Amino acid sequence: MKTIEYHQFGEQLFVEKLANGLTVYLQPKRGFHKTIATLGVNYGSVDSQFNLAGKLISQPAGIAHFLEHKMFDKKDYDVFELFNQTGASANAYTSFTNTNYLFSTAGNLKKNLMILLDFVQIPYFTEEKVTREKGIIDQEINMYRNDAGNRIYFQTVADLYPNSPLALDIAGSVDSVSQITLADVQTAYQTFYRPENMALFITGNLDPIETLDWIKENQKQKPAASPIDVTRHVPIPAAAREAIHQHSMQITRPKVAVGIRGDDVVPTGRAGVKYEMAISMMLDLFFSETAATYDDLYQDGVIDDSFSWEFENERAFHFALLSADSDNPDEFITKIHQVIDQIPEKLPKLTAAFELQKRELYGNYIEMMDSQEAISGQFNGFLGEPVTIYDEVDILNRLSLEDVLRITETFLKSSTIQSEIIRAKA
Amino acid sequence: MNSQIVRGVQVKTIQTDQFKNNTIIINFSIPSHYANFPKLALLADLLENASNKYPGELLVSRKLSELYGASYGVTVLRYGDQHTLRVRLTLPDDQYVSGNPDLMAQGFAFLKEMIENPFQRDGAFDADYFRIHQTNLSHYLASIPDNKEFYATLKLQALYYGKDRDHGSYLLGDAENINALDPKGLFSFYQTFMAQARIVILVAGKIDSQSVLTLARQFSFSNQPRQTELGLFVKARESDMVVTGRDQFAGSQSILELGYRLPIYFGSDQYFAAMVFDQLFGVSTRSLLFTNVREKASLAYDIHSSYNSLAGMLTVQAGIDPQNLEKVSKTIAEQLHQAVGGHYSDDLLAGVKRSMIDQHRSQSDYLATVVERRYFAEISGIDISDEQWEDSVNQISKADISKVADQVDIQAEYVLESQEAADEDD
Repeated sequence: MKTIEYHQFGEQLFVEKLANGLTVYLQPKRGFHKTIATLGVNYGSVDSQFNLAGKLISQPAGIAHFLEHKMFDKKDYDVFELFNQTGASANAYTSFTNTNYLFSTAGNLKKNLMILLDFVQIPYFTEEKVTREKGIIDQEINMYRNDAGNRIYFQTVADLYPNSPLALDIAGSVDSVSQITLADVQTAYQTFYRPENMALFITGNLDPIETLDWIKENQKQKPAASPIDVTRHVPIPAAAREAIHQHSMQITRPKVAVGIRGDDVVPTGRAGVKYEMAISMMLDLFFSETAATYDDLYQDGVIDDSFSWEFENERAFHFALLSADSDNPDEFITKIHQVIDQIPEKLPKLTAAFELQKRELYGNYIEMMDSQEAISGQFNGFLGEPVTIYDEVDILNRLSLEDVLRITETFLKSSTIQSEIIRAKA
Repeated sequence: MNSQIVRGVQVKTIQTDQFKNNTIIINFSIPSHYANFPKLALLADLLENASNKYPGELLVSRKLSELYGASYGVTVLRYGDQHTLRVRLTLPDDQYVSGNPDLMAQGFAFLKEMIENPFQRDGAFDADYFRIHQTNLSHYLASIPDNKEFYATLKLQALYYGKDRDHGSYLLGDAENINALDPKGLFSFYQTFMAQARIVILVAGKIDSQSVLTLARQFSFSNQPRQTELGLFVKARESDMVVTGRDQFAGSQSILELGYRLPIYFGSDQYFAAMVFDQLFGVSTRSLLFTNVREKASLAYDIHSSYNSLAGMLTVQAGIDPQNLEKVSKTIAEQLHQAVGGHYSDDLLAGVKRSMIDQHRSQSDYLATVVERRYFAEISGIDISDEQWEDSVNQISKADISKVADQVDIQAEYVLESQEAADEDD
């Protein structure tokens, strides 16, 4: 077991790759009562097309999310019943590129860990269960479609990546979900739910040696599957011409978003985290509350407290998205464009603001260190090397304004911008 | 440690080595009266975003960056019959930042400035500053109907309390009342509020109680008599008539809200039985409602209950298809009947208790909860140790739960009914 020490913060990370290919990360938190374990699968909604042993397979949209639901449904019980018996709380979610299964407990770690590993690694799929699940997922899709905030996010992503798997809801549509068959579910599971395509991250109240022993014992029964030849095929067509897209919903206040799609190549591992941090820093310097440009927009009433931005960097795509509620969405789009246009010229002069922002981010990381949710949520086990929030602090400390300038330039040069307005229906 | 610095101003310190951050929370409380709701809501925004020394959002934000991204917030809350303005500042501990800056002292100085020296001139809040936050808050309030679940919850609360607006009105007021406020009138409200409110200062983390007390004494809170005798419990509605309400909107999912009288209050003999009942009935993922309405009958995507032990009230919220309304209402009533009759497995009850205990222990990993528990013990006069809490939960029997369930009495029903409409137009 490899140990990584973070002396400054009195923290440690233990890493071990097991014989069957599963990678285990353990991050003990002294003095804490709770433990959170997350079993991540490197498989999400964009992975519905892939080459398996030379044959192109194309599956209905929403299959990764469907599979997530199905994992809980066993022959004569629901996995939530098991967690209810131990007192732990369990959850799962699917993103564009990942599926995560997690539990949180201040009780019996071993028992819950065995439940987690077994329910994800021992599937039970039948024709009848696949059919029954569709009704529940239809309601979930409808619930998300009713939510305007959710709607503008996914619509803007669709504007940025038209005719790609990103243009479809993570849960798919009522129509695509209705096409999912038992065979699809089995193929997807066998292709992606393999130990070497999974990572287990545990943080909180735990003894690393004892915990690793339990996991090894469990994984002995799950030897590596015979190797398969899989190539993911995430078709992302070239960006469309920049435009303003419009939809309407029954809402009282219009919603507006500006998306910036990068088509440059983001490095993997720590360099990729550095890239993410540099772009986030640049966005902070123009669009956070400490930025003069933000303050002008705020004082002029172009934005209010509903304004927010995010930067998403996943395998195969990365984009920034700035959004708000606005009575004048066209003005919002114009003004945000104006700020973006000024970035190359203004950014080099923001030396003092950069140092101040670095200090703020440093403090934000210290705040995250008290939260097991943040420690697990920030962790991505599929970067080729472990990057915890403690490593991120190190990357932040080394980040210079020159790095931010260089990375911003590559990002913006390659970028296209799409805007989306959801207007209030008359 | 407990200490009174002037009449009606208490300081409580909680020393713990578990966290890397420290927190200061100041609660100002007055009796709940609806005419004050919009005033205190806007005042919270004005105390949060500027002061005379930091005249503007940008300067406050930059000051917080200097304090290592300290998180600062002013919010309003309702504790039963108490209306509370909460000021909160969380900072990294000095151990994790260079140069030993004494962030705690800087934090107190910042809070003193923000609370005692608001952005005003000649007895009125700065007019431009006031107008921006008035506009933003009234925009937010006007857009609440876009969040259907929350909107439905507020509508039920108003229905349930009827003419009792002190408990039926939304705590932030409404757009119309916010727009009626003026900079001078609100400043004079601020002065009265500061002079009359009961004040509790709570400081937690790696702290030294004596130095915290010295810092707290720097506040200039007046030594006048304050409202220290504040009621806590709200009388539960009692009527033989079920009050009903219904609204329509274009969308794909309806929301059903039910309000019940459950006259069992925090600290009373049946309090723990009521908590266990609520979990078993509609909070746990294996609850009677979740299992029988969502899982078995596929009648709802989301359904849960919520018990308010300060108001003697139970609510149920469900996201449903409009044509299922009657079936859902009937199934919910049946589940209540099952709870009265004790028709559920012993395993379910045991699991629910284990979950409650697990969560209670888990919650102590949040600095905010540590402080919140201390505050709640202070205002209720009831301090329950963790051992007592767990013992009390473990002792609850099916018979105890039946006695609670038997007191649940429907008082109000609200339906936000969706009507299918053309969904969108590009």
